[in-house]
Amino acid sequence: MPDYKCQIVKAINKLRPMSKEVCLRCKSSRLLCGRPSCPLLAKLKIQSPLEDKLKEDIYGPSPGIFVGHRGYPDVFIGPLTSLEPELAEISDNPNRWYGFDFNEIIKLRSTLVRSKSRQNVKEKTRLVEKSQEIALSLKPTYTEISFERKPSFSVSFSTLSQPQGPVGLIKKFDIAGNTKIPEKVDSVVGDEISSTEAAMLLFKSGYDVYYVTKVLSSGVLGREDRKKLVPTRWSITATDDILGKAMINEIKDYPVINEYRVYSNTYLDNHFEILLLPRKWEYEQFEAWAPNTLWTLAMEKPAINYEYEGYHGRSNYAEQEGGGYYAARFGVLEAIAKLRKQACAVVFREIYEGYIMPVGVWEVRENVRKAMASEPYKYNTLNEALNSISKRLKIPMNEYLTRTRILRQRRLEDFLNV
Amino acid sequence: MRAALEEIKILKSSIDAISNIIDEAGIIVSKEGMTLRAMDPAHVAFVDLQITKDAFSDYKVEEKLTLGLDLDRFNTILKRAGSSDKLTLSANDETTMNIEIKNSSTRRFELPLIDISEEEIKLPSLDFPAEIELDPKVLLEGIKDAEIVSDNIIFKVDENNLYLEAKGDLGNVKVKVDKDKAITFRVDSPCNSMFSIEYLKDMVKASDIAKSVKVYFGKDIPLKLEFIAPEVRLNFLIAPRVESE
Repeated sequence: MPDYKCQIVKAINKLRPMSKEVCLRCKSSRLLCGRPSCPLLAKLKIQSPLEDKLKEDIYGPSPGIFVGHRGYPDVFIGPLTSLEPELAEISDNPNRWYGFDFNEIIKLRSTLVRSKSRQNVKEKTRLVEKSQEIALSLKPTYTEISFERKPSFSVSFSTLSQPQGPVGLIKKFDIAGNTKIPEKVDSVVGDEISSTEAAMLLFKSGYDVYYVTKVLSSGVLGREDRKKLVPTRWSITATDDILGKAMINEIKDYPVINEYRVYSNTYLDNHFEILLLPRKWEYEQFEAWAPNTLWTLAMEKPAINYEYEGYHGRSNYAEQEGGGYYAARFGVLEAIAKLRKQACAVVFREIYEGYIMPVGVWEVRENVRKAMASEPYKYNTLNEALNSISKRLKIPMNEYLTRTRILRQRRLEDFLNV
Repeated sequence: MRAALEEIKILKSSIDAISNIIDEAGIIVSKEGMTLRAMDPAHVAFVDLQITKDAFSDYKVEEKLTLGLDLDRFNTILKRAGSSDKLTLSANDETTMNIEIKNSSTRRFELPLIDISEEEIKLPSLDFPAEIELDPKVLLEGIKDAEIVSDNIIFKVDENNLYLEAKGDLGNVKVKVDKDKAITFRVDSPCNSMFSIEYLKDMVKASDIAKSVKVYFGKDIPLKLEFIAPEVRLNFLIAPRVESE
């Protein structure tokens, strides 16, 4: 296997950061530097010898679709088609990627060819309908695609979405196999309910967050006149937020946990410490970036981003942390809801130098899910819990304590015996 | 029960101050008046509201009732009333409350009541080394000033002055209130404590019902606000934030 990681490190070493703070706040998603695309991400493209598998016509299983966001509401849409049939199913399902290293993720994603055609998000063309069938199908659907020109090999990266392989403009696109769409999904699609309710209904019926994201993106949910394609990157965070909010409402009916719990996990140089406090729902998340990651090239010290929401939730977007905030919050809530408990959560995320490139927020979601699935440390006091956490964090606890709202806020019962 | 109010500001401003902090609470309606005592979900703040029967132009209660309210909804309805409107609350049981707003037209809202699980509220008994009575506007403006730079505010006092301070990345704010400008001023020892502005800015929405407000605090202990108004008792207690560094 070619060493993609090495190629990327070399590319990064040649990069000049645009600015100290702007890049970290933006992480390519908001283009705060005013350029039409992220100059840092653009340089990360890598080349590979998989070239010979690419032809003007391809035939293979399509595990999903991709909806672009540039040019909205006229966006590129089309299926992702696998060059390696035996990898098709796994290649578009981050639920099964936990444990893969950078090279394995890039390799997996580079086997998917993205074909695209520009369509209006409200249009219901045959191409959109065929894409929807693929998105809704539980198994990869065989497709035949002819391109305008043979796609050239490349892999590109995004903070929110999974890495992306070669891309080609669609000349002709047909479904060549059977789709497998569950009845439940068909009925939810036909219901006159909002896309938010529909997404929640699917999740409650046992479909994973990645499937719900795909279905939402394909534009089949919502009342008939409101149905439209949702760019993949927006759909990822929208799904985390929709499902998260619904679970917040749910857990408010459950009893509060009895002790302080600490969950911990590291994956892809991202370390998580998740503290649950025996209090009603509130949430805060720290995101501490080591110097020399893609977004902190010019920095000498770690940078800590911070976001908070109270019991009544938030109305503004978590700008400091973006999609990573909603993905982690989803993972925490999913676990608390499963326990049928309520708690207040503080999430410490440390991102180390080895996290050389963004692989998408699924990394955060799966990392948190892994942490929450492990047996927690349990403590009777906040101090014991923080002591335990600080032993596993690289940044001194004090740096977090100066920023926290939850951990500094005393409660009235703390003064009962004064 | 049936209670008519002409000076509706009392209820409007009190509920406006409370409804952001506490989502659900029971108003106990008795022969003496109405009371609401509740703790917020995070157990950071406590509110104690009492409106005596003398505040109402007409007040009839046959038996004691607990009216379980979604305060946000109640507040939304109260906001529909103008200052010259007459407001009448009535309920036959603990399932529905009727709110009537009367002026050139009669508007009637039916608010379904909710079950309130009664939690026993335990409150700390505190000795406050500082007790300062102020014009509520001074407190209100000080909190608004602090909010420009931070979500925390520090209450600080020495022998001669009360200070409201806030520090943030965007700058610092310091509001000084001279001992002589306060209505009363008692300080046993200099002290300071930090609090969440998010809570305080809701609490001071009640400023317009009171002629003055008493502020009690100390060193890293809860702060108590007592709005002084005839026929109304409105007290808040808020737990401090621990200062870092």
